[in-house]
Amino acid sequence: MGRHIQFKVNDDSVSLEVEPHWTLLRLIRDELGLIGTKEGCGEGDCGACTVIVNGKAVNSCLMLAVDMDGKTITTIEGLARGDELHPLQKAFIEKGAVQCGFCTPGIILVAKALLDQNSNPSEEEIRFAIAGNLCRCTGYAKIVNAIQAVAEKNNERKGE
Amino acid sequence: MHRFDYYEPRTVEEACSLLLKFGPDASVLAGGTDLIPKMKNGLIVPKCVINIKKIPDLDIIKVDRETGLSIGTLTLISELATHPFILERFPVLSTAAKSIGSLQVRNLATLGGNLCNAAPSADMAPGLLVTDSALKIAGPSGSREMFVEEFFVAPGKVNLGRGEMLTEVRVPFSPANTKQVYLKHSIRQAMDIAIVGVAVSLSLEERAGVCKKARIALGAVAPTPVRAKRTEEIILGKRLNEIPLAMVGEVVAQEAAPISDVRGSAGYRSEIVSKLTIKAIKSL
Amino acid sequence: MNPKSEVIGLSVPKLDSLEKVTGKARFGADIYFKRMLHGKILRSKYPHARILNIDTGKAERLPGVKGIVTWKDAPDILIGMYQNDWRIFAKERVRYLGDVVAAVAATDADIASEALGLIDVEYEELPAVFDPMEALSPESPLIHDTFPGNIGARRKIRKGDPNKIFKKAELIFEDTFKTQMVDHCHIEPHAAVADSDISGKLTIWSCTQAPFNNRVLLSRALQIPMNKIRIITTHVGGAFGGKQDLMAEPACALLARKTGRPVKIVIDRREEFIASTVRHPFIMTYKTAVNRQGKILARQINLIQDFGAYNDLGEGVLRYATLMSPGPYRIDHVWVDAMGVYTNQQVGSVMRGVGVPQVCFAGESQLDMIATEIGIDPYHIRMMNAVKNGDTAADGQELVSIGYQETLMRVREESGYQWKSARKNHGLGIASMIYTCGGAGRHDYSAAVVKLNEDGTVVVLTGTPDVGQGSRTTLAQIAAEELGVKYEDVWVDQPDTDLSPVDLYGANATRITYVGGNAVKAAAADAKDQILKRAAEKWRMEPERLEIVQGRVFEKANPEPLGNLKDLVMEMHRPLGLTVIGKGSYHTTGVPLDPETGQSHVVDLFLFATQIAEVEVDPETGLVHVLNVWAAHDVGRAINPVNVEGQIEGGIQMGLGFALTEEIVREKGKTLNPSFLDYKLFTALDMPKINTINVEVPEPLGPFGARGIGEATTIPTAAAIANAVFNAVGVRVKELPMTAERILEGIKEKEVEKKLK
Repeated sequence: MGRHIQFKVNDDSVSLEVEPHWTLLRLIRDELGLIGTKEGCGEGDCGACTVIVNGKAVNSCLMLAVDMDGKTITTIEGLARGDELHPLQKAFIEKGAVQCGFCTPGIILVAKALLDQNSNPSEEEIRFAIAGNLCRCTGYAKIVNAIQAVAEKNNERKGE
Repeated sequence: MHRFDYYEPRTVEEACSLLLKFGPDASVLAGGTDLIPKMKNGLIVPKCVINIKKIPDLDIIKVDRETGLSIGTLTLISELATHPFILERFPVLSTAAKSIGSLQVRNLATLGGNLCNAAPSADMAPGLLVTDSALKIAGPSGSREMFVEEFFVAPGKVNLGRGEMLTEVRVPFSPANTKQVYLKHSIRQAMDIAIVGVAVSLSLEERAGVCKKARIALGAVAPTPVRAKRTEEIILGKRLNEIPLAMVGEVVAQEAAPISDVRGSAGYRSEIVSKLTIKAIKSL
Repeated sequence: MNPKSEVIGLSVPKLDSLEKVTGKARFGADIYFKRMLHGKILRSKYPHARILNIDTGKAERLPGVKGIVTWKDAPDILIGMYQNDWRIFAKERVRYLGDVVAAVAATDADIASEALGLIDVEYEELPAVFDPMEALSPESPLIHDTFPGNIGARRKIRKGDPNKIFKKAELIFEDTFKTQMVDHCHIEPHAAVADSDISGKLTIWSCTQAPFNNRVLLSRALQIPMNKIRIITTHVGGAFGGKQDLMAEPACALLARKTGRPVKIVIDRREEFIASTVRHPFIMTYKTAVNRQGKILARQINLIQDFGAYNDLGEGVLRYATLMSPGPYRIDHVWVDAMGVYTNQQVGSVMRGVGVPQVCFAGESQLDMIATEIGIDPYHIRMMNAVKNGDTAADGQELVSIGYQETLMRVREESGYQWKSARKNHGLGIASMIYTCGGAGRHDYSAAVVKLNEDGTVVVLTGTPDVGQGSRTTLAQIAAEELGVKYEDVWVDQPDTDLSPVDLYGANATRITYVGGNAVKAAAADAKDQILKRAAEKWRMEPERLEIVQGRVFEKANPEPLGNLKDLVMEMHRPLGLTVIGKGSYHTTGVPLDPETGQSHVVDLFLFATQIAEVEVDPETGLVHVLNVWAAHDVGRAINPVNVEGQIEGGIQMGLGFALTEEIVREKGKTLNPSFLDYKLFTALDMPKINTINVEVPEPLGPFGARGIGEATTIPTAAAIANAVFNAVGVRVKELPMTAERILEGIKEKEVEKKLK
């Protein structure tokens, strides 16, 4: 009993048939081959599966694929422009915010959603935004630093 | 997840007729933050899933300057947490919304879902109880209204008949000079289900400053979210600084009926409900 | 003062971060093949039972199911790392709810899950035991027939005679402490893909942290030679000791052989909490004698380690716990008696710190209790008793070039530590630890190859996997420094057991920088020798007069380069036909512990650290708010300072969870909180500020003076928190986790006591 849906992923328009019981996470990874989005728990408790749907950061493990009809999805693969990394990606590398890297795509996307909406967040606001992304490697310290660094740069540029 | 038959009704009437047809074989899908994990763990195995998100206009927040708020059942928790009017006039609701899950979960979860899932710890319930909010329910024989207090029956069970669905929550304006707060006790600063939740709404007389209307609601310490009516009576007629806090603490603990589970023991919950209620009143 | 270096000590960005931030890095579950099948594992229904029959008929007939395996599909053999007490598939007996009974491969994961429900297993339930003290009693069921009393292993230390001291000592303290079962909680669950060719050669992709160890075990379990098993390590999404075991691989391998198709198994989070290996719960009794001045005269320690259903690496953990239990102090009289006891629960194995976070919690808590009782600042009592260069550790080994006192002094300075806080419900707590680098008490080695590409860029082959700690980067820096090339010109990949040189223990035991690094350094030196030999011929000089710096060849002390390394190497290839392959290895000099006294020259390197925690306790709820943690770790030499900081920051997150919020809650062997909702890891919002202090007392045996960092970071945290909580509200919690409930109980008891006085 497949359903036909049409949606946008990163820069591509996709049209395909999905089974109602597929989650968005499964659609992204197994059908579209975009393996950057990860499954850490499958129940919305760890944030590793975070993607951006119509501008909002969400857990793709909690959504059904069928609900994507007409929507726009951004995964980690959609952040870089050609070979130009997104400032968050650059900052994560430079600040040592990446250890095992499994939580990284999810956290970068939440950070992007945060900065798109609030370009000058306080440290508390940053921690509040990423509270739904569990990391077992970094203690979050350098992740927060990386996000702050991007926010600072954005605000410097604004001041110019 | 197991396979299921899937429906996307376009109107409330269509949804109700599907619900009438399938009864207990169907589950309603809104945000999915409670339903999907339960389905994955085999706790709920519906034959069919009815996705109500394609029904237009169920996610609207309307402010009527006379009567109050009308919040559509599909309103996102993230919307409730950040809506300027709610932040200003109903912090008891925005605080509760902000405390739910994570940013990602709040971007999916709905007000209706939080209520209909009927967890004893449902964070939105205490705030709606202390504001004397009402629910609009659509069904095969038309729509009806009920106070939030009548909605919760047992853990996971709500007062909806076959073929009925929640469409709207109506929050009346509180009297002028009302102070409200929602406090949640949890172990972590985010992500946690409440071990104890307390909402307090005290409306004070303008001149004398005595409390003319008191509402206290408790979450996670009874089979359903409940009002603490005996405790309210103790507060009625008193000025804020005259409220006998020790007695309040004692009585509110008696009105709670917590259980011990993996999140906390009954004894601890009893203690916390007293202390949290006192803290809530003091903060006003 | 560190010697001058080109790349050692620089916080260069990790060489694998780019693929991780772009989503290109392939982890265990990211391997896909056409015609790949999905597998699921059927686990035991009871914590202890006999298996009478397994009927897979109905499951096999489910459309989409392509193969089902049980113990019948593998050789009838017991394996293990210390004791052969385990089967990859349970045959006649299951001993905990995670025991593997069968596995199914199907065209999709949902069908495989459905098929599990159709497998009919007939069990005869047996009485089970869940408490190690109960398991020791003669009335308890025997979990392994060859281990009477359910005692899986014992360890001892006999140094001096504490009983003699206790007879005369004025001040004797005896306390019992308990720690809980916790999980590694690497955010990436276990996952593997196996494929088999027609000759039976298995290729396994796995997010393992110990591929060579896995190969040894699989070779034995399947009774096939090692060249018929190829383990390719993917990116690893965190391990912490949880991924050195075989969780998905045996089932994948058997299913791949049976179906002739690649099979993937991804363990789900629930399964991780129910069936994966855990940190051993401990019951620890410390009897300590001190004099009025605070000098520790004797320590007698009794340890009960809850093994769970199997030994796995439990015996190794027992050894570490025993060795480190007395703490980093000069004590002439130390007796330790330790026992690993079987119960019908999750299997304890290695988890960051392996037994030492537990004994450190006990020993350091008690030391603060002693300090408080006799009125000496906990900082001073530690300085007074601290081991220094030339002292001996509990195993009789002489300590050389150690920085324990430095860590105490630096952390006290940075934190502004005061024993008694001026604020109510606020306190600072201090705790120190001793640990080791390399497979303590066992012979440990690693081999490496450094090969030059024709253009002078470098590939390092190592059997050590990077599990997020940045070891590939560390090894690249070591190779670059030794060889004289730029960091960016060196590539290090994840190990492949067919292509990489053997490495004994993988990413365990804080060994990669020390053991793996020395092997890489030796291999780079060998490659350099070969190159300089050719350079010497070319430029007609003695090789000793030449050096390579940043990819250019110099005569020493002459600033004008003789030429580029890349041209030299290209020339060596063509026309000279000389390919440059440097090889090196390193092994540690473990000599077995004397079974009676626990004495020997067991480990080569010791690690020391001190942490101070600052907390505020809410006296109404018992909730602890951690404000700051200062951590001073003696790393010898920080090869990459930012990466060292990252390890400290992450280790403290794990230590805080161990101290305050984490526990696998069980009832009769059943896990009650198998999800991240109710197993509580610290989120970004819960974390305190972390202040890292790198202490560098150079290690003579380490590459460029480096020791290691990985596990030490999580060892003293719980004790520091316990001591801070005591200093804040006067409540001594002797059982982890220090939940709000436990602390509130303690606060109420104190109030009652005060009223009675």
